[in-house]
Amino acid sequence: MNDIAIWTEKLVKAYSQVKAVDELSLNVPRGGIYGFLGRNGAGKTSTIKILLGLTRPTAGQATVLGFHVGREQVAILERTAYVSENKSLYGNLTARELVRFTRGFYPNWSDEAAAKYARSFEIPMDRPFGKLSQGNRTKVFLLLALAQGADLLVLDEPATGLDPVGVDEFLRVLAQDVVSEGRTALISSHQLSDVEQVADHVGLIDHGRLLLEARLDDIKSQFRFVTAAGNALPQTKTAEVVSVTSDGTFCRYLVKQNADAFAAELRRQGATVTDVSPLGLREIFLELVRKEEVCTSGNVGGIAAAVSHSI
Amino acid sequence: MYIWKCWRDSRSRFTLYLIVVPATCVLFTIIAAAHGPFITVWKRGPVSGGAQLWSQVATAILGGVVSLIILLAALTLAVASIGEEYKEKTLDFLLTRPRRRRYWVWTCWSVGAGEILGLVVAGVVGTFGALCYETGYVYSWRLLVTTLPLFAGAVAVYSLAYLLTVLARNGEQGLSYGLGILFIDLLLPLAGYYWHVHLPSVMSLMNGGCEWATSPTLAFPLGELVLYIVVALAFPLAAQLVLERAEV
Amino acid sequence: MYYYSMLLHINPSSGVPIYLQIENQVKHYIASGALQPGDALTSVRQVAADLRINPNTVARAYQNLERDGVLATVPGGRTYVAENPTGLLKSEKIRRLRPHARQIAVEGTQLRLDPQEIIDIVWQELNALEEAHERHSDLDRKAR
Repeated sequence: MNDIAIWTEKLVKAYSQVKAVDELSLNVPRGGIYGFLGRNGAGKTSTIKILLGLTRPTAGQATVLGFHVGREQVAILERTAYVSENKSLYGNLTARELVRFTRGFYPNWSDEAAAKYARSFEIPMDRPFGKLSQGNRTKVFLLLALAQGADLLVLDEPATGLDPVGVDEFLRVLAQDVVSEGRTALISSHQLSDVEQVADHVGLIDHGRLLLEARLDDIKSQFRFVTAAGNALPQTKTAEVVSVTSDGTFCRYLVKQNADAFAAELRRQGATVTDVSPLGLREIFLELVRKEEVCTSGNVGGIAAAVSHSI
Repeated sequence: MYIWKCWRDSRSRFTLYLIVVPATCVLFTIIAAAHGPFITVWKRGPVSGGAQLWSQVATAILGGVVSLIILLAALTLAVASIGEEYKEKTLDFLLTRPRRRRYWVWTCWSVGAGEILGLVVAGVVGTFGALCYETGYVYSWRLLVTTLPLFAGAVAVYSLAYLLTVLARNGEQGLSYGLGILFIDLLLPLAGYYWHVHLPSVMSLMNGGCEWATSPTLAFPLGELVLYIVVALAFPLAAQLVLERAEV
Repeated sequence: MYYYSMLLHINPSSGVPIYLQIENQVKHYIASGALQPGDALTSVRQVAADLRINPNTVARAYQNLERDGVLATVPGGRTYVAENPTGLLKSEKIRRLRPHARQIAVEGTQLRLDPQEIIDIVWQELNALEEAHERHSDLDRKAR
């Protein structure tokens, strides 16, 4: 278990009839950056709250850094830095006082790191937190998390309110200070382009279920859109075909691996393969997650809804 | 560090009370000293002169006006509790620091309890100090013991308000509930007097403790004292259980 | 010593994995002479920080290039452009190039270009590399 940072098994969080987290089995390896992606309300924050001990799961189990979630929660909190989606702190305390408040909890706290990030993020340290802009509030949270000396960073929407310079600085710090020191980061974000830049692994969640979990490099080097035209094209998903979209004439397959072989097979069956193209994270995300979209051109949406599947 | 933060949140209120309590003591003592005969009328029981009278005056002040102020302080100091964290939405920050949840409850509670102790001591010292000064009498050790029932009563009210702020998830709302309950509790001695029944009330504890200091024949209200101490500890324990089960 | 992070342009949203983009660009710069054998490369950590990408990605690119004989790492830790041209057998070199050649052939045919036009395009690219190489050698000579 030493090379796993976060592990969950069939984690469930149900609120009366609705399952915010539905049999989620995550695997976050140590020493890298894991992009935790999904739409609003997909279950990302619910999952994170369970891992941090803020809520209790309905079923299933989880470990963080080898410690059991729930039973050994304090041990987890000693080693984990958390930036919550809701970025509220004590409005009457200044950033400097918040640093003073927080550092006492962590033996591995680094004052030099705190000073460094205060400078590089350009945080106004002597203004009350309540008077800070959203971007500055986020930066304070980032400072507190980064200076903590934690083995694991769990960041829920860590770029809220940050301007492009702030985002750039944040990515630089992630690249330079987090991974290089063997720490792990789980980043839950809508900003796919930022995640795509720094993530080793991604986990895509929708309606509480894990749709996809893979190395980002593998996704990019093996996932392909295969577009074909012809009669009697296969419309079902297989182990390799993750999703199918059809508009009557063309069929577009999202193939997980061996795309060339799949395209060759289609050709053998008489179809015309017009395109085999690689895809970025955004396209995969939209393809897997967007199921009920009504298309503007007549039938298309209907067929897509009937035929589109996710893993 | 949380101690520091709780202190910071309550220090302005505490400082205010720390001025008001001894000031009230001194003021009333001076008034009493100037209107000696009035006191003999007011205290319907047998009254003797000298030190005895003045200690009765002191206990009347302490057990009456000053304890009311301290009770008010106990309520308002409870506002700066965990309940406020709900309102400020900072619970998800606080509860993800590496401490057990009960740490937050008891640490914050202890700061308030310590402040109340400070106010009680200030009240007792203020009253008897002023009396000493006015009358030249020196008073007995029994007077110091009055701090116990005063403290127990005040802390019980504080703990109640503390629990209410946690349940209401809001400092000010908890305070209003607490005021309501205290108001009822203060009326109980009147009801008890009317129906010739001794109903437990925090004022009866505090008053009784003060009276004991000056009346050698009265029994020390030990039973009530223990009861209120238990109550004072039970409420934060309940708050701990509530917080431990809370989902943020 | 080059700090060539500024020479690399990474497109994170492209379908090409970042490590592959780095590898291709490093190979291109070596082929065009912008990077000479013996030149020291910026550390993995510095490249990652400069480009705001994951150091694991950069490390993977370096490792692959080292495996291919394009780069070499000294025990001290520094990575250099390999001194000797890659010491592979001719047959192995041809084996490695074939998939790329196949891709050009397929693309060209899809675009309905005839074989000679396809070959001409390849020749032009080779010439361009040659010229770039000469330009960089000139600049080096003048710098010394």
